[in-house]
Amino acid sequence: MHDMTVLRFSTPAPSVSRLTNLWGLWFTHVYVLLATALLAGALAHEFAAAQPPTALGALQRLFLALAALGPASVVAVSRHRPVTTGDFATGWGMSVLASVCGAATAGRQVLLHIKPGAPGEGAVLAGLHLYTWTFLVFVAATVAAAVMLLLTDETEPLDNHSPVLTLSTLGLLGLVLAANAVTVFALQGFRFALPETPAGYELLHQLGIR
Amino acid sequence: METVLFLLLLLIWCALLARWSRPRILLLWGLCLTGAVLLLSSRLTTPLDLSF
Repeated sequence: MHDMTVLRFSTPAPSVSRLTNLWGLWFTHVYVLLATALLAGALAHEFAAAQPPTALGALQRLFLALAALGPASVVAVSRHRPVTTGDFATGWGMSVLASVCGAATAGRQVLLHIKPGAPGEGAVLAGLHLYTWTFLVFVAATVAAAVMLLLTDETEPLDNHSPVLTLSTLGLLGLVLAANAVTVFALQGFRFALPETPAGYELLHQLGIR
Repeated sequence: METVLFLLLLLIWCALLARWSRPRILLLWGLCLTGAVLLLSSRLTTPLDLSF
């Protein structure tokens, strides 16, 4: 008699999937680091060119930081437990929402100077004003976050084997956020909100330092 | 207002490190986003000159 045992083959964990999950974890780090670098670059430009940000510029920094905090939450969770699909979707969803708002803010600033012949305001890099670059960055950030959400199965980080990189990424982001908070406080002083185009660091003026 | 929102960002960052639960972090983040959007809407008073 033939043995009627049914052989069941369990699906082996495909190595390609593990590779793309690892890629997803790295990309999440890179996304946070790029946003951190942009925020740091904006601060460096502010001091190097002695050009305080406009109110809309400060708002763009705020939205960029909010967009970075989404993937940063994924990175933070991966430090101590495997990231669930819910964690992953929440993090990247936060990024999409904040990036869309950031693009609207930068777009508004572009529209303020859209008239042909208008000189625009602030520094120019490779033929485009910084707020135009910011608009493009927000569009790219939205697209990247949307692609990560589309490929959730392939890219959600399952676990994390580089705690040092993760801590460095979060540490750098925290440092830049703190520096931005101090700078904005110095610009705003004890007023309710920033003026449209701040002339200088109001807090120093209010304290009688400058 | 901007200072408060940036401090809220720092609080969210601390909450991430302190392993706060997802709903609490999302609540703080949503509060900050709402504040920023309200601030943005208050900055839209200057009419655009689109008379090409």
